Amino acid sequence: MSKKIFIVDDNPTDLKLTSYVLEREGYQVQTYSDPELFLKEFPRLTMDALILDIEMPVLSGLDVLRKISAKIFEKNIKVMMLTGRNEMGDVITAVSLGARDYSIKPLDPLLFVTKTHKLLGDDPEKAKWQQASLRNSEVSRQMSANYSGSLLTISELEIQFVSPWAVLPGSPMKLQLQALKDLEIEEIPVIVEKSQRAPDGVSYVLTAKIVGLKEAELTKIRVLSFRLNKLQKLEEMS
Amino acid sequence: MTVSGNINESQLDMLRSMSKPGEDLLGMLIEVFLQTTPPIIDELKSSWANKDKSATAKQAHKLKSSAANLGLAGLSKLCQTIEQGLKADAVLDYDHLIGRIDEYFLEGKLFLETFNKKAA
Repeated sequence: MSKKIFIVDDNPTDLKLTSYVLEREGYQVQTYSDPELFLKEFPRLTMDALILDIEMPVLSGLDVLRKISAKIFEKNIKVMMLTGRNEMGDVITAVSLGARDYSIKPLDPLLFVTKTHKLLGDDPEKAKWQQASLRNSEVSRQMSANYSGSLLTISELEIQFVSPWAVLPGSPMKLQLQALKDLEIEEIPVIVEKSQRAPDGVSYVLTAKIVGLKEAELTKIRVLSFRLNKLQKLEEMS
Repeated sequence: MTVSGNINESQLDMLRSMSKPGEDLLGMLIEVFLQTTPPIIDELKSSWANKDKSATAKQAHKLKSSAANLGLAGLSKLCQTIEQGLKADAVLDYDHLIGRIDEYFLEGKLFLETFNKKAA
């Protein structure tokens, strides 16, 4: 059976666009343009994912998320926020409330679909780790880490870096890396997806999804990603 | 002056390419946009007339996003200026900016209708 996604957005064209592209991918989609009505009906609804617009009148997407945050974790509902370029601070709040990703409006439909697939990705091992992380305290959901380890790869969606310890997949954290500080990016909010033992047998390679960056930071990351790819190719050639 | 120089045609081409066979996503979005935008503009103007900056900024935000989805970069940018200006309490000639929304919308509407007819 196809996965069920709910979208709450008061903007009619955004709602039409998001529901269309997700239905096209085979998901069952239900939409709400009224967040209050959605909240009222939420207890009887079942869903795999929820896509919430942040900027809505009367009740914002953050207000909605605050009210259902506990249930989101209990029911393992994956939440993606829709946000404007100037509301990135809200994304960080949303992550601390349980959101796992975000898409920037105006939407790039291809990027939005890719992110939704990742949001709903079926990875049994990850699911097992997430169950474990549910038992952890609230603190683990807002943990912050400062790694001086090396950056391996980075794209707009994902970062891979070396860590001295493993981290539970599903854990959100604010990541600080020297390579990013060099670009004047103090920290980036990420959600860890995978921890694997590094070839040295001591440290770990962590793969994490990037969940909140401003456009200016994204531009810097595109440049960094380009440089890293080029460096890798040069290394392969030598 | 027309807004045609402020149209992002690649956005429209991408939307068209995302249609399912036999369907017209772009046409559907244009229809929704043309139906729902006039009430948003009316509400924006009425909020501004009532000196409700927050409500005016919210409507500008909504229109900014819809317009950008349909490649109307000029209208989207105009709404962004209004929204950000109001939120930051910037001193701008809002009467003039808000007064230009109709003009941008009507030119955008004409462009979208012509663009989609040409494509059909």
